[in-house]
Amino acid sequence: MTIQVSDPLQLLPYQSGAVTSPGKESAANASADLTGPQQIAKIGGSVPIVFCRRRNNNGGVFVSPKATEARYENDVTIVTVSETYDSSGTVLAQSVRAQEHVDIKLCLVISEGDMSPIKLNDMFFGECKRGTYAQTYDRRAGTWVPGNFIDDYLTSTITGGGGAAALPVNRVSGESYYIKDVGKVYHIFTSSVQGYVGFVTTDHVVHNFPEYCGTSGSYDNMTVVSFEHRIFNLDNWNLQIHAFVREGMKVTRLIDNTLGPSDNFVDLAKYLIDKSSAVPSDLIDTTLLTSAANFCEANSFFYNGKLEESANLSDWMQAHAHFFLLRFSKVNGKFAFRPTLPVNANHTIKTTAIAYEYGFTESDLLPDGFEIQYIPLSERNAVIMQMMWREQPSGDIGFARTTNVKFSGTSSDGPFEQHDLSLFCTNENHAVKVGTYMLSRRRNIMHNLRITVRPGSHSSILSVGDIVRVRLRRETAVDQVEHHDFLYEIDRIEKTSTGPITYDLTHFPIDSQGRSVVALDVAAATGPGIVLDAGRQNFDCDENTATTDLPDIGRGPFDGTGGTPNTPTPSDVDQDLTPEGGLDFGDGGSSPTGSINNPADPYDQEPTPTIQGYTNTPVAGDTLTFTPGCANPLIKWYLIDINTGVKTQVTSGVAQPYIVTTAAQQAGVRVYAEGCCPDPGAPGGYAVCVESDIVDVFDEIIDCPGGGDAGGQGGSTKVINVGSAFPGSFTFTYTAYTIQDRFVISGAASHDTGFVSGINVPVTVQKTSASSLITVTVYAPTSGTAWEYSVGCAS
Amino acid sequence: MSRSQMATLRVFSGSTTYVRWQNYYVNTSLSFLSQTWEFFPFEFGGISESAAPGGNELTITVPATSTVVSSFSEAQANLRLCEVTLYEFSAYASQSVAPTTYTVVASHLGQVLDLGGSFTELQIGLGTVLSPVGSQVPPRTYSTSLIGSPLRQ
Repeated sequence: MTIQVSDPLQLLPYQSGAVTSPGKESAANASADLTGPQQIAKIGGSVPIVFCRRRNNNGGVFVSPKATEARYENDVTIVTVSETYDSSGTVLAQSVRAQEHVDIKLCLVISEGDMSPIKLNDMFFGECKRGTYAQTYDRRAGTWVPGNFIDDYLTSTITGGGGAAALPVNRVSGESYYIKDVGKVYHIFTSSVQGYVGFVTTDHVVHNFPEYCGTSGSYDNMTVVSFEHRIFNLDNWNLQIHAFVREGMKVTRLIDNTLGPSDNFVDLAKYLIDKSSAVPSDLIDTTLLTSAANFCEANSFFYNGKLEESANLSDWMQAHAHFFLLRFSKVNGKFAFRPTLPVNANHTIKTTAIAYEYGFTESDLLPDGFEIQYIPLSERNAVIMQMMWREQPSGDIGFARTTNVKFSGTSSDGPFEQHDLSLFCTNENHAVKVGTYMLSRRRNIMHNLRITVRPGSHSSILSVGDIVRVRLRRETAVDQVEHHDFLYEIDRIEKTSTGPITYDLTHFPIDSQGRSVVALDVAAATGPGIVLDAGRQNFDCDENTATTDLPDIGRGPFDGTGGTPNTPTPSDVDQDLTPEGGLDFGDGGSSPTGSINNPADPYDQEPTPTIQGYTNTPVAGDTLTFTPGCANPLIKWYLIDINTGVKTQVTSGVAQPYIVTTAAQQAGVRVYAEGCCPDPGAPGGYAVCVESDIVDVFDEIIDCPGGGDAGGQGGSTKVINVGSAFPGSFTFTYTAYTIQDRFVISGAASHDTGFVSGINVPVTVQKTSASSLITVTVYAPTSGTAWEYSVGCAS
Repeated sequence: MSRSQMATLRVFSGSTTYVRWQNYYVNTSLSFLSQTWEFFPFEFGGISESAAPGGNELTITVPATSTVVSSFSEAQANLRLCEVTLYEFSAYASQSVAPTTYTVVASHLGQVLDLGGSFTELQIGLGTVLSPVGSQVPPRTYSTSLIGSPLRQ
């Protein structure tokens, strides 16, 4: 039996994207800080993806890359402050000062993948276009060696003494001495006027540049930028580097099958699916993906953004697809995106009459095959869609904007529903159309249907996204016939191997001309189109104005020589393991050998009640008792012949004991009891009989030849295996010394010596049966006696 | 009812097909679509097609023969694909040879995500391993190999 469980119909509006209310509101993603400190890449953090393509004066991404390596070094230059001239223009005197500067170099990761060169005037140090840059791919950008070389320019540090008197006498121009006690640096220079060697001083500044400057890496499949800049204002050295990227990571575009930058969301989604390695290419519906990419292209729904926040791929695609009026869906088990609006052959939004694919009537429905669920009021009341997007000027910092979308006649005061597209949307019309789509669905879509129908021609022609008509006759009173008659979009189809097909449908509202009202609303929606000024003041700090590409300068990993860091090699960080059992050990391994030999479970059987009333071995005169676990049991006693195994009942009765007889002891038998508890309802009045353990009425069984025993007063009973020869005889040899003892043989032979004395007296005993066991019972009642015997094998 | 439905199941990888089964022509090796399809009594609840990506894994139920266990455990280990196709044709057509006129009602393609059950019956889940948990975006993270020991402030 197969149990099928479908999602409740109430969930369909949420699953199909009809309801997209955000769960929280927050500041726009595009509202990044500009003048904060440089961000640092950390192990385990996400490698960003910059995905954009500036076209038609729109698009591009302003990114703030993280640094992985740095180099800091300072030095001093002698600067002429003023000069005095004579009337001929000859310099008579100069006033100079020393000026410290710091060279900062950073290695920054822009994006995963390769990308076109960034323009020089698109690079920012803080808010200003400054610095020297290089860009490369798949290797480390720049050739400089990372490290902190602050104060390495000092010739030496002098402690003790004070002032110029502490300077070495052989000082020469160009040297700098840090005299620690006065906290000043003395810079030696040669005056260009007087020609003598002098010095100027500066305060020694303790810089707090990072000491751990990075060891470099492979930068495999990354676009990396090197930044170099000399700063004189040391109060403002730690500023974030920004880059305006016009063309982001190169991917193979679905539309033109060309490797290059893309701003198509579907290209990005396919890249991420491919990179996840979780979905084989056979499970990606490239045809539908291409159609979806064309839908985005035709309607100018572009992605110009960066991915840096870690997210689940499935969640990410679902969360973003509806911002491009797409649905992330599965068709025949394959991943695909489908437009949420009807489209024309040229992929634009279809605003003409909609032709439905199939019409369902009562004759198609199976019993109980109709279910309707209206969209709850909370998801239908009028709201204002506050759409956040990003205005992205060329070569400048983008900023977040909002555009409120509402139907005329509704309140301007809210409630508001915030949707943040600012991370990737740079087109106001795009944001407005998405807001309109959500608003129009909210206003016009009333309900969902679930119909279960018999198979028919629709079985093979309908698929998700198709439009169908459902016209069902409804009689609400005598002679009053109405029809439930609407168009629907198929959201889910479930086809069973037994025939019935279930369709989950979403109301598809049309106007009197049969046109989709949602499509009409979206197609007509445009933004106000106002371009806001970025609001930048005092725009005078730029030094880079050239639009040239950043040069491709880079190098491979360092090798630890010449003061370079030790870049980890692949063998330092990768560990290949050889699987135990070999690489083809894939069938679950071998089966274990040998049979299973588990220890006995002492608790898997009920304990056997035992016979009581003897010590070691029962002897004649012992009173044996047996208790099966109930009052007044019926006890039956049995003896077992050790040669034949025949059981003989010897006595029985309520709580009956058994007294061992001499005959029994001489016969060498085994004894056991059967106890039956009273049961008035059972035939005979007893039931639930249990057997006791089996007790040997002899000491042990030993083998011939030589099998025998020895002892003193008291005697013994032994069973001896003399073999099965018959007819035959064996030799019984006894020693009783002077005090007489008696030896009795029974079982497979019969002999009684009576009380006798003597030493090593042989007796030939004839066997009486083919059985092999005889019992030898010794009677030695006299104090001080000693005896022994041995038995040969029968022949 | 004048319709018959036959399902075929194919396990394949690239151009190599490992299993071809059909569940309609009992004990018959069926020549269909230029291939031979062996009879195997597998069942499935329903093939769903959805606008939402989740929840449309296909579960098929098969007898737990050693052929099944080895075929699907190897398919799972080697990331082979499994395709289930549901065909519809006239019940008045020949019941001994493959139909010449038919329609494809539904099709589902997936990897063997999970299999389990008892010694007599196995349930096999077919879908994709695009997991609803775990982080896959962005696909790469900074590693020691990529950036060494990075700058620290």
